Amino acid sequence: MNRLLISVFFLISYPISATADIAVIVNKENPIESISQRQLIDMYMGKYVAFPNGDMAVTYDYEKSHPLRGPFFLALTGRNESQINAYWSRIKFSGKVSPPQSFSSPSTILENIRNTPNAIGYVPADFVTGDVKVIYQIDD
Amino acid sequence: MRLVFICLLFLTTFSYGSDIDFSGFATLKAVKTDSRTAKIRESISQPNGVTKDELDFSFSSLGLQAEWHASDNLELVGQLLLKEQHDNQINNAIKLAFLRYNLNSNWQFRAGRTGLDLFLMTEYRDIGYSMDMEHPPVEFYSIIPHQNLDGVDLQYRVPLEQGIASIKAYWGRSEAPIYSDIDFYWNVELKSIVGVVAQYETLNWLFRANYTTTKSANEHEQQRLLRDALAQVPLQIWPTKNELIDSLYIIDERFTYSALSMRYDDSDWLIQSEISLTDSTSNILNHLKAGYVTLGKRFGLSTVSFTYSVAESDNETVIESGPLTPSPELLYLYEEASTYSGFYQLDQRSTSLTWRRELSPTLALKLNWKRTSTNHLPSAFYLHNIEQFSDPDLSFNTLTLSFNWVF
Repeated sequence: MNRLLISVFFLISYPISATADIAVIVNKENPIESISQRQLIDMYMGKYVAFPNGDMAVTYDYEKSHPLRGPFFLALTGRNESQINAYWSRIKFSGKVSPPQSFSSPSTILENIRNTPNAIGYVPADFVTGDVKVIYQIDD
Repeated sequence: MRLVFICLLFLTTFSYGSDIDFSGFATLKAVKTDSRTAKIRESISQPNGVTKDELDFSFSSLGLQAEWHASDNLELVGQLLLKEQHDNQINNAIKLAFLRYNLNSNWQFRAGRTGLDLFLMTEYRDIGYSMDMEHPPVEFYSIIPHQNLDGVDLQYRVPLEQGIASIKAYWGRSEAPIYSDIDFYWNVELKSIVGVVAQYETLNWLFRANYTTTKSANEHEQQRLLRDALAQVPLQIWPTKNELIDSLYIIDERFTYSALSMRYDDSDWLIQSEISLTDSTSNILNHLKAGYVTLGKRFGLSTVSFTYSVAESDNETVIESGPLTPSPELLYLYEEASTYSGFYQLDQRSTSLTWRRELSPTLALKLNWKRTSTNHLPSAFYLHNIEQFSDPDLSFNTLTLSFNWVF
């Protein structure tokens, strides 16, 4: 119940800005220290969903139209959210790859990454806590 | 396949809710043409076409997909596509029903009903939202009705310095309906489909090569009746009848398909092109060449694209000569046999202009104008106003407006 209340608190109190810095995070136990932009693109576009050491990854994303999703993909790929949705509708509905698991808020992504060794996600940079590891940063 | 799909549906419905992903896509489409002779359609699997002075909505469709993530490595996928069709509705509506197993980050195995990965857009040609064109070019995509493979595929992916290289091999069978004039319906079965796709992809570029071979597993009942009737005709009256009988026998004939594809998309500019060669050991289908090129430019939420596509066949020279002493009955037989032999006489080209406007991140409006020029009608691409065969209009325009949604 406490976790739920904390999540709800963050959800309603955290003003997610479309121009905030974004941190790409993994589980603290993950041996990866950093990742390149191209590797991140490959993972979030479903081309090669693995960490640089070859371990399979579980990618976390936000639900469609979440305010952080558009800026993240625009900064990463140069494509707007409509183009990303069109791309993923090609991949997903052709049954090639499953899209990233989608969540409703940074707090749920943060919590799931704490509990999943091979997960990767992104949250507003000032949302990062000491129990996850930042491996890539997108500056405003 | 119905049983597999029902099992998948059962599993996805009764498994843990958090691991299931339900999603879908829909297209609401209106089509209008000025052709007097051709009834416009986008695939030879479509049972109806649009006639002049008619505004048609039957190209609309609704797709529903369920994915169950059984574990990090194993997923089950089922997809239903609801659109207008006449026969075998449930089996044809099941577009996907397969399990996907990721052995590791490089190897992926799928078994069940998957997309038949012949063309660049085969596997998503019904999902209008996924492409900038209003619909895949008819000259390239309408020729082969088969979109699904009942079988297995194995893919290997490896990251290289600049992009991802992959190779996929598949094996299985497939069936798909062909509709033609005068209530002609044939559920075409292909067996022993073996194919390989090699692909190299970066963020902006994609290059792809495909080679697939298969054998025909069945024939239309009318073909058998025609052969039986021809067998009764004395050789003295029709010296070439045996060649004609042979050409009408299609079971176990081998068909091959080869294609090269590329796409460039830097989010501002789009270039896409495919070329293919379809060939067979049967006289019915010889050296069918097809290709298209699309150039598009994005302006904010709008995309304008131009497509030129062409299909050329070499089939007209192989129809055997008719009986020496023509009687009405023999001439009827000859005409029917010639119709079958000439089914794949497909020589036409089209130019089209598409405007796509994003109404929201999940909804797009598309407007398409297309000018088609064909060397002859009737054509397998269309259904026809049969009374217009004596004076066919070989050039015509088609206007399409569609709303495309993913959810």
